[in-house]
Amino acid sequence: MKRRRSIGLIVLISLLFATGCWDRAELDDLALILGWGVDQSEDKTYVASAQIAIPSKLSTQSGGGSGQGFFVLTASGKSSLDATKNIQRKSSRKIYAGHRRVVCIGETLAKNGLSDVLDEFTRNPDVRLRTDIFVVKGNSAQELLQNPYPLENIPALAALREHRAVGGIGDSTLRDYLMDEAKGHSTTLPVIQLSSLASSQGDESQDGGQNAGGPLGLEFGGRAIIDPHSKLVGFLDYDEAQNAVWVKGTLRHFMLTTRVPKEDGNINLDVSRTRSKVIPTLQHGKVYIEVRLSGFGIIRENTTPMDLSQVENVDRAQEACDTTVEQAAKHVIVKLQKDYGLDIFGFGEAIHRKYPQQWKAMKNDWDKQFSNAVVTVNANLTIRRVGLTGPPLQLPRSEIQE
Amino acid sequence: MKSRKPRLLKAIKELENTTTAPCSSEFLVADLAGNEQVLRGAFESCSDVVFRSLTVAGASRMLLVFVDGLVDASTLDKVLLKPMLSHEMPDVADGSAVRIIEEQLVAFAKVETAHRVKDVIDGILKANVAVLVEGDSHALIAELKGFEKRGVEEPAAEITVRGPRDGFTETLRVNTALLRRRIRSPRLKMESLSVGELSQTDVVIAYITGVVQETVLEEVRTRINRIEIDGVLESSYIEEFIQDRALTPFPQVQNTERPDVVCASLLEGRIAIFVDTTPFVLIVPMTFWTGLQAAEDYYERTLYTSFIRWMRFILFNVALFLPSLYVAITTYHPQLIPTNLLISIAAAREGVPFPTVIEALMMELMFEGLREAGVRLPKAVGSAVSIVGALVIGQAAVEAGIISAPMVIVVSTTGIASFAIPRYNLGIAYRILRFPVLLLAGSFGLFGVGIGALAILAHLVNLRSFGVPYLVPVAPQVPSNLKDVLARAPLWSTPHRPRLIAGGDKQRLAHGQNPKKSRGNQPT
Repeated sequence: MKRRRSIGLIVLISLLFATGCWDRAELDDLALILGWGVDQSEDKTYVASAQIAIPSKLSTQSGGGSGQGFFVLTASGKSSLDATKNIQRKSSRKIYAGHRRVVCIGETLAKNGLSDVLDEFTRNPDVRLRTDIFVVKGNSAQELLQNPYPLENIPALAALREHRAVGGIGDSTLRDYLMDEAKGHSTTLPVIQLSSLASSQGDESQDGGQNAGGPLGLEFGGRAIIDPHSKLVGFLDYDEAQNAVWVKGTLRHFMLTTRVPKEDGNINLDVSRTRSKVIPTLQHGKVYIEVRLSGFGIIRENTTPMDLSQVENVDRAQEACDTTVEQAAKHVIVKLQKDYGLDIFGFGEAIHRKYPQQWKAMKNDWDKQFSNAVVTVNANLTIRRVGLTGPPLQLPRSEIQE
Repeated sequence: MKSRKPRLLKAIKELENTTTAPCSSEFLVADLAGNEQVLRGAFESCSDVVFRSLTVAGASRMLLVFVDGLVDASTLDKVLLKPMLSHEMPDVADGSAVRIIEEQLVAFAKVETAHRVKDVIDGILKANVAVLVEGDSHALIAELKGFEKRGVEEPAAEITVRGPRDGFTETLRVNTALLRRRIRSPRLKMESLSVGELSQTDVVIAYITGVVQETVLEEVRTRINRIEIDGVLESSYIEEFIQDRALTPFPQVQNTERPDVVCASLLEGRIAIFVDTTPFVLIVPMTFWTGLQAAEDYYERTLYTSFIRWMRFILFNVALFLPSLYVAITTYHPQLIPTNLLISIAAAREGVPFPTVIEALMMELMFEGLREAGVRLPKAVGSAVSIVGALVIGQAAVEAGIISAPMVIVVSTTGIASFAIPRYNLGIAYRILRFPVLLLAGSFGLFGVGIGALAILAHLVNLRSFGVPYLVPVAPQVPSNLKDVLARAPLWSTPHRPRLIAGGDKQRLAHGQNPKKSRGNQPT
């Protein structure tokens, strides 16, 4: 008995040293990937780029912190993982994707279809589903990753933070994308593009103002429309994208600039707690969809001569805002109905919830039906605060409207 | 089965028989010279035993025997010698000298008569004076203790900001008196025993009848009576013999130098064991939670104390698991750390030659070594060690790139946390257990840490102290007593003594004493 116990104990203790250290990896044996890019070249091979942090450069201690804190490794392969394997050939440390926060998809690859590169993201246990996937507009992902960004040590993180700053739910798009695609819906992905940091023509020009000179930075550029076959079919510019996301219900806050009827000047409203409610109705085989948008706003700027300490004026401003939001949202919805015939708003899901029986018959040609759906948008914004001043102080008294 | 007569005791008995060889007679005789010879034979080569013979008026010789230094010589002079030598004593008829001396002595000291040589010898060794008179076959044993003792001072190990500042001393009677000063009730009992064949150490079991659990008390008595040992030098000797399990890092007997802690424990139905020659008093049964309670908890405000208790819960977990978690997460699960933190840890580890486990083990051992070195150093050298330690452990190791800076932070946090456990002996348990858990973390990652934590928990649940489950009142759960574990509820809201520990009357105070409720004591 005693002998058996001691033998058992010896076996147990030797287990400690017989693990072969299992999957142990010291931090200084890992290459931490923070940004990842996938492109597709002419001959259909995949080109993967990894933006890897250089810890010694990012060190806050003395002796570190000179030069760039990151570098980019690029390799090509027959598939995403094959390319990754070839990246490993260039890396002295084990490629570790557990902290990959941003994935950039080159425009070419996105047009050819994303489905082939996404499998590895979901199969690898190290990888988080809470990664942001961006479509790179106008450049390859590799070019984008190689470009430094002055504020962030790791430029890829700049894309993530911009996405958050404009009201998107950061750290989320891979999860959202998979949820939509798995159901066979169309969806959108955020767009990131290289643009001149110092030029004013960023959005309008085709190349994002890259020829305007000055250092290039990353810019959040709206959203990309992905069809149910995971192919990129078009882009929404920034304003359209914000409205589309609001309708879908995944927007946190929204900046709205609107003219007030019969007034000279603009009201700027900062809307938070943006909500969206989709109410579908099926009547006589026709689909009616009502979208109710709501939110609470603070007036940040008022260039009209209205005195906002007067309740009537605030009401007028509120109405103007409502109208503007309704028009903008309607515009995006119509654009998708007419130009693409793709439901990126989750209307189908709303019908599925409300009419589960009818949905079974509808879902196969839903995108066609979506194009013919009658959509009405009702916005109901509440202006909570008007800032510190009622009337614009910069105007003389005589010009201010009571 | 083993015989109940261990060889050690036989040997001691034989030794006594040979050393007291001249002690042919077991009883004293009426002949003083004969008695003196017997005693001198017994105390052969004991230079500290004084034989003083003197002739009293009435021409009867008498002999005083005592151990020099244990007896109060001035009282002896005043009481016995002066009156006798100044012929103030009445003439004594033959044989009644003893009675007169006895009357003289009784006014000042406890006096017993002894007929047997062994009793006389024991009396002398227990700091009494033996008085033998010519022509009398029994001796007087007068208690005139007067050995040097340390004064009552504040205990060094258990310091409070608020609360009594007296601590136990090495003298048993002083200690029991400190207890009696606090609980003036005849229900506070103190049973005397003596343990140790050669040391004959006095041991006192103190308890309050009607509050103590009789079965536990009986168990304590039998366990102490079972001890057969040559000498008891400290209460830990007793502790080792009476504890339930030896092979565990967790102490099952609490010790303290503070009389107020002993009193509070007695009032909860526990039992205190005093041992002569040490200021440390044992308290049984001990539970895990008493190890996390300091005396001052009951003297400070309840809100603050409750907060501090939660701090301790957090800190003892930190003391046990922080290095292991750091090792497990950085080497097995880097995805659990926020990206920025990971990058700074990676930057700090850049160029460090050792694996994280080895690093942690080295630093932990270094820290323990420093602590050990600092404990017993002479005061003059102590500061030097702490300077060297701070420089070696802290700066130099990091600057030399041998140890990463986060590891230093982790180890020092762990060190601080382990000293935040109020009972030193429970803290020791944690400091020991840290190492196996660290090895598990290095081999199996978080899985290993989980296994380690489960093993420790299972062990704790299994432990008992004198039949009382170690984790009571949490496991098994006694909801009414949780008030004193998860928080420190005000006294008036905890009317019951701990169940499973206290026996008899569980009610310790009257209900409805919440001062908030008007009880007619508010000014109108």
